[in-house]
Amino acid sequence: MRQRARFRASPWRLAGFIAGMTIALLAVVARLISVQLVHGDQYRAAATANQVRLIPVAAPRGIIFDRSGKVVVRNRPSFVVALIPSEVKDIRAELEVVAQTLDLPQALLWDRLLHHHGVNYRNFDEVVTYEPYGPVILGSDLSVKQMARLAELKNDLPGVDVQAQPVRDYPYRGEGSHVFGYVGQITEDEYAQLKMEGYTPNDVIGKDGLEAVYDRYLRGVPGGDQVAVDAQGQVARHLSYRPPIPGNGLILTLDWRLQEIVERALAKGIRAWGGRRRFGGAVVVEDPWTGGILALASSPNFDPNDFAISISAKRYAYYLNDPLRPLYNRAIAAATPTGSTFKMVTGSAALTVPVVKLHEVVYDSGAWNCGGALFRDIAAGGLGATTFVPALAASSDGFFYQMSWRLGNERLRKYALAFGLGALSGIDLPGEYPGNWPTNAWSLKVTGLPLEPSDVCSLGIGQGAMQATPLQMANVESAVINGGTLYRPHVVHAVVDQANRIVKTFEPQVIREVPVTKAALAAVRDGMSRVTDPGGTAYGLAIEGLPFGGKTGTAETAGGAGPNTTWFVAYAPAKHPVLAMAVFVDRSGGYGAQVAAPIARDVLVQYFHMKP
Amino acid sequence: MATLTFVSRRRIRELNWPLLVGSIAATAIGLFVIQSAGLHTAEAHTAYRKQAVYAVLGIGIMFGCSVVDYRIWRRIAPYLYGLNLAALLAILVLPHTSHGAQRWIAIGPLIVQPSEPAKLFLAIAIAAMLCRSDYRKLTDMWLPLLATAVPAILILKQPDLGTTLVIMAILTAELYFGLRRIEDFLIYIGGLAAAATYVVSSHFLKPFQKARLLVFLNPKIDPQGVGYSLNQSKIAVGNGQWIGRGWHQGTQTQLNFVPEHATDFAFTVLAEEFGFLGVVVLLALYVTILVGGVQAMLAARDRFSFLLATGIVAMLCFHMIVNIGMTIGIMPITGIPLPFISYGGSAIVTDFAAIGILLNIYAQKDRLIARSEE
Repeated sequence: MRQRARFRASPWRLAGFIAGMTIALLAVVARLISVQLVHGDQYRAAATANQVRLIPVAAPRGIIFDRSGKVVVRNRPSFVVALIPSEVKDIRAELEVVAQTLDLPQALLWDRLLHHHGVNYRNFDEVVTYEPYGPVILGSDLSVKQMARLAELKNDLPGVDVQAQPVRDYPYRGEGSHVFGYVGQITEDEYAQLKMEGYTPNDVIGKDGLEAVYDRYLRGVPGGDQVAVDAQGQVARHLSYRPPIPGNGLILTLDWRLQEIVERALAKGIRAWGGRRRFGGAVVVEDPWTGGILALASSPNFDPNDFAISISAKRYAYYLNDPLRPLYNRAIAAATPTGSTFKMVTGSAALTVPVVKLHEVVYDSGAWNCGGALFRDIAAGGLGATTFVPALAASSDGFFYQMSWRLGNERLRKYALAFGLGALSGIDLPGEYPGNWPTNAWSLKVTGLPLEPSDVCSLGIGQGAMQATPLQMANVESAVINGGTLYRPHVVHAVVDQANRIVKTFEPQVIREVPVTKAALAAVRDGMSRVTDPGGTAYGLAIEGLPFGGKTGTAETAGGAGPNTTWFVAYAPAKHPVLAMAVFVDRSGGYGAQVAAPIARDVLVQYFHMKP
Repeated sequence: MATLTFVSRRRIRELNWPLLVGSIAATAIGLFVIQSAGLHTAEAHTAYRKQAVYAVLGIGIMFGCSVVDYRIWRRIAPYLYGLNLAALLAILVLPHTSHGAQRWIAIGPLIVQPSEPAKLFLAIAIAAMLCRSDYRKLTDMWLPLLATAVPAILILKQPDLGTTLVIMAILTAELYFGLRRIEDFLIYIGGLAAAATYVVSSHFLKPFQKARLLVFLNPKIDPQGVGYSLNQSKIAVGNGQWIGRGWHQGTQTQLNFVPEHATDFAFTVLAEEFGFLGVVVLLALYVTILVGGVQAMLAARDRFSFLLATGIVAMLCFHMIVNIGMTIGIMPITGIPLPFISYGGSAIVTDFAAIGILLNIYAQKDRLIARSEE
């Protein structure tokens, strides 16, 4: 066997081969140093962001109780389909499945996806960019069957989640709606204003009524469920859970039994008068000794439950397009001339100044020459020789033209403003309107003509340019009843925590002592208590066993051309009143005694358990 | 005549320790990685045990190959090549689809991935063919080129872009040393580039393969789609930082953000859970293996064994670089297993067989060579 020379590779090529491997390995090492050591923090942050997610847990809003502790607003659980945009793989396919499951048109889901929280997105990519973790609510109040179906499909629907959410529940639907208001998703503008107070873009906030005014008590503190999720967006484990803190409850001054009576009596009374014609109306019942609102209703009302889960465009359009505007709170925002109910003010002023003595006999011809302008009493005619109390019971315009003339514009205005007219009462409800008491400057500005001395004769009987709300008239009446103390009307008595311990009490607040004499007020009450007597304007409306005081009002509209707006203020029982009530029916036609007074009577009969 | 004693003083003296220690230590690390990667999968407690069985089988085959005279491979090269082609063709006829690709065939209870041993068989076949003549002229190259192209196309059709690239790397490395004139090698490189351009631009690649190549060029074009794996892998590797998140503690791995973490992305698991230090240990073991491989190349007595050792070293090195590179975004995602680490029986057995051949080449460095065999 001969030996052959050993094989030898070219050293240059060997060097090149080894160099090639070395360079490649060094490139890998360099890259690993860059990824792991130089930029490791960034990648670790990305890994954390990948897996850690904070799922906000909405806090149940506080419960609202009436004065006796009856639950009038609460929460109920609702199962919703929520979309977490960043986890969606194929939005078209997923929405198709969700639409089928919920039996909703796909177009509606797209609409909810792209237009929510007051923001309009052009496409889904924008939603992913701006709201990666949403959640965007696609559907609410799922049935058990729908939930089961979605649970089955969970793996095919990445980013689609079924969550239980507390939803505001108003068990009495429309009743009390103008007190409670409603809640809704925070809008972008609201969020911009409120984010400093700890609100988040997914919050449900009070939009109107008590829900809005007391939102910071009612909302509670949202909790958070910090979870690790896997690549499919499924929760792998819970890292930490902060339970939500439910909102504080409110104890109202409302008497729910009375509220229900009032709502029904108002609707019934309007129907009884108008038949197929519909009118707006309002009733305010106040505790004359504290200013606490016992009942407050505006008709037509609305169902706040419609807003609790984002309201459909159709439903919202219905509320907006109804000419009677159900969302409009007439009790605190409808300011109209008050008709003769204002004689409570004129009368107290006339006896206080005094421009008339209690038993002074005044001749009422049924008309009065106010500085050259002849004012006629169309309704009552002349009473002949009369005194203050019968004239008030009969609502004699002739008598009160004289009183107004004796007072003059300046003094009448002073007393009107002292009784709280032309100013916000400060009730704890949003949207109050201050009404109006005309001044010379106002008259020049609005009509181009100065206030004439003769204008006092129309203002003094609640006509002309004066305007007041039902709330203001109930408050005037309260002052008349309680001896001249004008309280700030309020709806909330106290704030309570979860254990129903009182954490804050709202004591009655006095706006002012009205500068009228007790005797004057007693005389006004005397006149009002005879309103159902023979010769009184509400004769025939007396309730057997329940003497009550009242004053009708009939205000001309459109300068006498339109249908009358009718008013009635009442208090009961006459001797020791526990409530002061103002009833208002907007442009109902007829007289206060025909439209508004029967509603008040109906309320009193039911509330005091009297025979009708 | 060699003694039948399996373990002898001479054997131990002639043993290439870097190859042996490097491969077995890397396999041990691999078992920890696969155990952790499988924690939250359906085959949670079976994958690493199966892999251990394959590793033991592979080590046995390694020792077997280390005592088989490498010259036998040259003699049976045509048969190995034929077997190889038959197996690759069989895949097309007997589909066993996984992940939309046909890569496996069942032989009795065993499911074999023929493209893994195919790499080794081709390394042998190419080395054998390159010894048939001196290849003074470029035109003489048609046989090894054709012989490589046929299985390469079959594997590309599976589709398995990664293995095709490995075969091309083996061919290139063996031609680098096998061609007499460096100009011929450069012409070959030019032709290879032209062919690659054609393949990429034609319909030859499946859409997902093209997408992977495009995403490699710009991972941000599709963060949730094809680029998703790459981005999640990079995040996981970076998440490891110096010392890693700890065994079983890699969030990217355990929460399944990183796909295929026991196979293609096993390195990612190692990097996330054991950090840069763990990575350095593995790379050190790899360098040890490559050093052992180069020692075998230098020890090669003849042209065939040198070219075969070259092909094997190139194969292992290419696997390491391309697999690690893909997890950190410097190589396209191709699904090449990480040697001794990635879960997969065919791959680990092939790797150990390759080490066994290198061991034999190294062991024979001082033996005489009969002229008749050259």
